Amino acid sequence: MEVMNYTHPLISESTCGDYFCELNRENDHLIVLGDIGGHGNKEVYKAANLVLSAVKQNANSSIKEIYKAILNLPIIKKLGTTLFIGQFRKDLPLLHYICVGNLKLIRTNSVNSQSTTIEKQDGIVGIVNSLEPHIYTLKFNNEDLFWGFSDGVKSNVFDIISDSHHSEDLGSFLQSLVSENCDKNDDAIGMCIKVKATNSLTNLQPKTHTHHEACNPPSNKVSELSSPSDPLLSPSHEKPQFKTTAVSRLKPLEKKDLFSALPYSKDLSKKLDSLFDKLALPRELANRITMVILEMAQDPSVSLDMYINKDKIQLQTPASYDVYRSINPMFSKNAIKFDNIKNMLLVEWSINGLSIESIQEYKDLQEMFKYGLNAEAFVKLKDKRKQDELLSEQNKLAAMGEMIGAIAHQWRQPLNELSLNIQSLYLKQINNEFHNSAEWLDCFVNKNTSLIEHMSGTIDDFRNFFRTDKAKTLIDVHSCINSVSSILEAQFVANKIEVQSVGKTFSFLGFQSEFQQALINILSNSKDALVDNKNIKERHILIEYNVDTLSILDNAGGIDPSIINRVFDPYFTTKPHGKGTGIGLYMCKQIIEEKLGCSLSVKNQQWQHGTGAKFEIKIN
Amino acid sequence: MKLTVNTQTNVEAKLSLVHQCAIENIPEPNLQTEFVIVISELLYNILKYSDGGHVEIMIKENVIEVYSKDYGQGFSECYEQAFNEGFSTGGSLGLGMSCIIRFFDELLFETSQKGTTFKGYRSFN
Repeated sequence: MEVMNYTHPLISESTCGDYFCELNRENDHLIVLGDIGGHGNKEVYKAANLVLSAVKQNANSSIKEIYKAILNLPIIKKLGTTLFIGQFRKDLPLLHYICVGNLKLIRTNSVNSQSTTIEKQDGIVGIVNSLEPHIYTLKFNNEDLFWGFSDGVKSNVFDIISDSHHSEDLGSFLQSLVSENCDKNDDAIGMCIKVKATNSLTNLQPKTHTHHEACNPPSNKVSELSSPSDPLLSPSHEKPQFKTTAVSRLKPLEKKDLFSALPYSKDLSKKLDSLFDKLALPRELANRITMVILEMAQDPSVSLDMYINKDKIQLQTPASYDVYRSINPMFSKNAIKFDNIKNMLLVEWSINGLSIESIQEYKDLQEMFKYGLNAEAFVKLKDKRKQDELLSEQNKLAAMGEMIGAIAHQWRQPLNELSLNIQSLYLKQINNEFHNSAEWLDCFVNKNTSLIEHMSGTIDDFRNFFRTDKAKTLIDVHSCINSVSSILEAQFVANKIEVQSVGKTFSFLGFQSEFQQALINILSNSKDALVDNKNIKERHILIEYNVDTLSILDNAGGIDPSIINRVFDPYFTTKPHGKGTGIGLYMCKQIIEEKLGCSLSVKNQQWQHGTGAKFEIKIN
Repeated sequence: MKLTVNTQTNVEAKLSLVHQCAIENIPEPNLQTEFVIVISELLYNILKYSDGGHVEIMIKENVIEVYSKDYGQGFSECYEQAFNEGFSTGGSLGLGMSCIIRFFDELLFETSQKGTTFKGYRSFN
């Protein structure tokens, strides 16, 4: 704190009844300013000195006790005084004060540079209305200025202070303010205090000053009336306010109890609310934890982690010693700890009877918190997820069924051929035609080996199709269509469907086997539609691809407009019972939109072979 | 908005009004929460230390203005400790008063044997 005062006596210092003193105490700065009734005689000077002696005698007392000591002085009961006793705390940014009478008190707010008069109580100490003092408590900001003047200073000082930008040299400014604006018939005194809020609870961000400065605020100017020999008045009496943290028994919780990081977001308070609700924390405790977290999380550059185990909630954050100091007064010593080796701040709350029974429950809570869901919404999410898993499973099974059908088609012809070849071997033996047959045997082996290779290749195709890709690869649309067509070829041929694919290939990043699965689903759907519609003479499917769009168009008559919006819904099917699962197109939509980030749409279109459904995949 | 409280008052019901008021007037959800917590501290303080009083809330032009008054005994005998809850509670922390101190940009308590009044201002964007 910078404290200055200036007295401009009417006649001389020894006849001046205005007084001021400052005591730099262990936990606060005490400031006393007053004006004895009367001026220009030795009696008021004596009274002023008696007041200051009473202050010194009660140097360790509260402002209320000091007030009473002054009030009880006989000379004050005779002359009366106006009085300001203020106590600027060192642990909190608060000023407690009593002010009675017509002193002028002005505060200049360092945040908005506005000056305002400070509230006070009417009366004259010792004479009028002074039995029970009102105690005011005011919050101050770092570098606020507090001004006080006796009534010997004219009221226009308020305007001057309001309009002035206050030079660096506040002492000279104060001196000229008092001497140029004093009443010609009275003593005049003024004080100016520039406060240092070393513990501004309003700002938890690290401050720019160093650790050393933080512990040892700059020493103060001692007022003229203070005696350097008095230990209480000596600036060297200043002590660091915080003791070492060794007393705290807090231990950091381990990684396994890490519940979640707490980045600041707009819905952080809502998430915390749901969580504490689920944990059934008492409202008051939940409120307090929320307040601390909201403030600590505000600095985006600092990571804040929340740990929860059966009986504790703990916050861990890398922090400077200054941050620790600034929030320390809010906690009891067992609830906060600063680890000065790791520069880590721990804040902890005990929670009783927390019922997290299983690891799964803990995980659920974490997930719930992560997505900011309340209990009800979380249950819904879990249900939906279960349903999707089931669907995916069913779809795989359905797809396997289709695949087995496809394999059967693909193998029937080569198996048939193998069977014929083997029979021909038997016939050859019966007819005794094995003389000089080396050439024939070579041909026999080659032909059958190639058949077996073809069958093996078919299996590879299907196996690739069932493989689940872990990483995205570059998908070439043309080769993807070829491989899908070869899987379905036998079915297309058997059902006399002519498939034509045209366009210019392009590539994109995605999961190949899933993309293929989606294409197979769409193509199978078209195939089924074509087979089911008995009115179609020539069955056609056209696959077109270009730039970023792939479309599959058939001539099966199109989809009924009344249901076209529902074809991607799960379990929606127009197929006879037992044939369709109603999940094929839903899965396509899921794969293409959710997994691959593309879009899938359907519409009916007229083309050269009639009307049909056109499925369109657009790569984003 | 004026909230009168006495020993018969259902504070939770009053707080849901405050919450509604916060949602309507304060855009930032986290600030809404802080605001409701601060008001709940003020209301519970009134009930804890007196038989009744009231809290007035005004929010306009991005300034929250709160005024409260109770008719208790005041806390002038222990005015320093009243702000020191954190030190006095064992084990846990007492944030009641300090969350009020931190929330408001400007605040003034006036206490005497006739009761306590409080004024606080907080601006927001």
